[in-house]
Amino acid sequence: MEKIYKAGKLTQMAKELFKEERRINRLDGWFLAKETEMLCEDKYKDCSPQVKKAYLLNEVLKTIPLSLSDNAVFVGVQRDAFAKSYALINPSFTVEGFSGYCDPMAIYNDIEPNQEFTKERISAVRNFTAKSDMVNILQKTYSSVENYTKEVVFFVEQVTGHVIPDFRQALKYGIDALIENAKSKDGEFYRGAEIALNGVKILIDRYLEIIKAQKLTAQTERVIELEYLEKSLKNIYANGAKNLYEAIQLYILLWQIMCLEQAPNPYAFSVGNADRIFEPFRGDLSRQQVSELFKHFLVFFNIGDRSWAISQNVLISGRDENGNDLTNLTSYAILDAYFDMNLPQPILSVKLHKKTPEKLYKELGRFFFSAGVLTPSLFNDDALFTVLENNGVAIEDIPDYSVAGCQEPLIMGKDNGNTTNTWLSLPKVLEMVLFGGESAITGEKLMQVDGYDLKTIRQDFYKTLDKVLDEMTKAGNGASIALSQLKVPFLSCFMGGLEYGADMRDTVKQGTKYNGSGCLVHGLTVLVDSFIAIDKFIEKYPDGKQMLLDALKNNFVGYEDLREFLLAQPKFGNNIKEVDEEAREIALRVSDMISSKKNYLGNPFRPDFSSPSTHLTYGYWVGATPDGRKAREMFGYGVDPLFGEASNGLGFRILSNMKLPFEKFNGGYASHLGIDPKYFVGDDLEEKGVKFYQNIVKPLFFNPLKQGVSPFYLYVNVTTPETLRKVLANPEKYAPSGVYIMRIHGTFVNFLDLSPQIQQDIIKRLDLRSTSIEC
Amino acid sequence: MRIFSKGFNFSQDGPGNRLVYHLSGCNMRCPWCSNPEGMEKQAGKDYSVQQIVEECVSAKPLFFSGGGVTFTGGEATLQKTELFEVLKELKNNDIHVAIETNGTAKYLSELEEYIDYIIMDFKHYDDKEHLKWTGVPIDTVKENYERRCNLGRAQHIRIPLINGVNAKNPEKFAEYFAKFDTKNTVFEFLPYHEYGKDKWKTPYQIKNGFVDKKTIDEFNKIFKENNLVLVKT
Repeated sequence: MEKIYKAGKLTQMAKELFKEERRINRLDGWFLAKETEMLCEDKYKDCSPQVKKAYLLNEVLKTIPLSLSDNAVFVGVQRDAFAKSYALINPSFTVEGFSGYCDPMAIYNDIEPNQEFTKERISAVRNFTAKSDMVNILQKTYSSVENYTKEVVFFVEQVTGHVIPDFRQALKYGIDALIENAKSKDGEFYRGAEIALNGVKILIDRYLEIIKAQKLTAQTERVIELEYLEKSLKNIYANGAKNLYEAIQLYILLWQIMCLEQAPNPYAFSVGNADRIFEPFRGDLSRQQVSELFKHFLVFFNIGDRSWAISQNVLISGRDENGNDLTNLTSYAILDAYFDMNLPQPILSVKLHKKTPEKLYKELGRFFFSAGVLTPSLFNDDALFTVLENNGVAIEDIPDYSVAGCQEPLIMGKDNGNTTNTWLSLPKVLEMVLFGGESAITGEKLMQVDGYDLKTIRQDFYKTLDKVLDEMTKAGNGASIALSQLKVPFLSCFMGGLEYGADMRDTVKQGTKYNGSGCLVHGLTVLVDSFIAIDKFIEKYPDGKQMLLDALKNNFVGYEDLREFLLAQPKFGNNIKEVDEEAREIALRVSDMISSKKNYLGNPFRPDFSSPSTHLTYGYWVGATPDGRKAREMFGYGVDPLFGEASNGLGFRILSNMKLPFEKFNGGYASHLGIDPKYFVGDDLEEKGVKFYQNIVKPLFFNPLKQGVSPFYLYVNVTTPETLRKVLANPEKYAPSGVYIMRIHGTFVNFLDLSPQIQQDIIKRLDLRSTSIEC
Repeated sequence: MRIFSKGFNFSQDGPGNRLVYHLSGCNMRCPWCSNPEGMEKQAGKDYSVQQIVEECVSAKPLFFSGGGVTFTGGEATLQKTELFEVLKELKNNDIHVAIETNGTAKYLSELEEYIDYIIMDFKHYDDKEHLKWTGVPIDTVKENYERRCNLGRAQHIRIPLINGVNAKNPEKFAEYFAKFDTKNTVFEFLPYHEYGKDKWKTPYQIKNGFVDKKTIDEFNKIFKENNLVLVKT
């Protein structure tokens, strides 16, 4: 390969390929896939659902239009599996637009009719989808809990994507070996698996045809490249990959099919520990050569004009079960590729532990301290190993934990965590208690709640929460049952299906080694601060219940003094014992309550204290709260203090944060620090990287005085509100490439692609006072 | 103890990562002060000794790289009684303590038993000028400096460099300092900045206080020639 591509050539092609992708502003492949399924449905009507889906996938692979750019080094795109619909990078996204319904039909509004894709054609597929079992079951589920979801006491959704396939066996032995494995076993699942896996051959053969045609007209240099590609494609199906080039190629094809199988909603698939997956194939390739190949790998994950596929996670580094570091040359090469390309996708996450080499921190310095460059999420392996082991994950599986979506830790190829299945708003539950089940926003009765006393507010809150959780988990399971109508025979082969003999979405027989359902918990710190403020309020106004309710209902208009009083009470994030203990108690209790609820397979729900921008949308549906927060204002992000309330700087924030019961957060949690770069002085970026470790990572993750499980997740944006305002005001000057990468919850995005409300949220949440390192 | 500001910083007010308390009230009235909001003793909020000690103990996980607690101001030594109590308790809890002072407390020597690191300001070598700019005579500052030199105790002397106030005649500064045994003393220049300018409620008096690189280089050079050890934090 190194003879064909001289140094720098692959990089140049990768950058051109990305530019080509960004020029694509229509994504119609998903529609074609759905239409093909509709047209072929009848042909396979007598097959079992598993086998039918496998055949339909083959039909899609046979017909989906394919092409090969002159700048492509590998064949394969995932563009045809996605629609232009992901809210946060959709310029029409508004916080007010939340509909309380994850509508599988809404996608048909995202395709703009034209001569080829006429209204009639779109209508036909829409009607076909509307009649499906999945849509019917889902609609029934939503209607049963409409009062709870419309203002988000809770929300439920069917979780597509959000897992980490394990392609390692396929890369090592090829696809034939997997098919042989399936053939040797009985049952409809295995028949479906055989057929679905055969899709790889269909796709390879079609690409070989394209290559053959292109060779006839290509320049000599390109012909050599195409011949190399052709030879590799012919090898990988039967034999697996014999070098890094082939490994990446096969990986891309598997990913392409996996996504097409779930078109149009294959979000948040994660690559997993990429350096460990690919290092065995590296051979003698140098860091620079590996990095150049990975640049094409990274481009593959960017879809269309706004990189519409989102939350795809690539992890590097980390440790094994004995604490040995697993960083390798491929880890560093991947970092080089990321830094040079600086693309909106896929997300980079770095696993850290006590023995992480200083070299890695040095090399990370350039990411944290270069304006507009992506920054990796950081995971604390030492802590997560404990969390996962305590939650029943076998020790030998733990090094394979990866991150699906933003920050949810799942075991690669073995864990279907349904991570975003249910979403809970703690402040809305408090509102239900305070107002007897009536919304303080609309006045509508949303649920039945018995009377309460401010003095026993905690007890009354938890009683209502239990009722809400029962309804929420029942509806969450309903959404999972709806989704299980859509089989995924191909993906299931890489999630343990070939061992367990069941589809990974099966709601009766467990198709993966591990299974659970997620619950994203919102507004922890609003609830904490509210409980404390209520206590102080009662001390001052023992008979003031009605005054408090009136103040909240009127959004403090006419009650400004009372609001000042409430705002002046101790808040989370300032290392105040009584508040931090309250936060710990709530987090413990809510986590235990969530874990006690069972999903469709009888496995526990997993508490996940994160809020992927939903701290905005859910905050919009909650009236004023007793902590002094005004109606419709956002909540704190994840487990972070509410904006503006942690005014004593980073040290105090970290001390409060460390009191939380991280051992309970087996679904994950989110925390963000906006850090002013001025605090990090050094002769070069490497020195700053080491200082970042010393002043942020080490005290937070590896603090010898921390009792219990340490924090295990963090993402940062190292910038200032002024800088971001300048970028928005003058993008040509501050982001001449059109790409200025920022982090938003667990993913990173092109700041310029975001909807205006999300841009302002990022700026606001930098909250530099809460991360000040000077006094 | 009355405190108008608190927070962490790294190695700017003593070694390592430190929890810094700004105690209210100052006996000086330096017109370049970057914390003018803390000059009056009523500024800020009262904390009991117990509250401060509990907070410091709870903050131990963040005292990394040899860090601890620093008391500054205002002028920390003005709250003598409370400061003594807190310092004793912090000593009992094995917490590293630094104090940043303007050096005007006559009883500084009594506090030293409980202090691990002293940062002392030295604003002018000339008695009249010191009085003119700060409103306080320099004698006690000098006594404290000289006493610590004579006893061989470590100290960190900080000299703000302000154009129009003290940013000339480095040799006069050096001449005074070098008269004593400075083997355990380090010196640091703090070039003028205006980070606190907006916090002044009365008209800001310093005009053109910035010092150029040449001046700083000259100070560095003269101090080095006099074997005075310089640090930068």
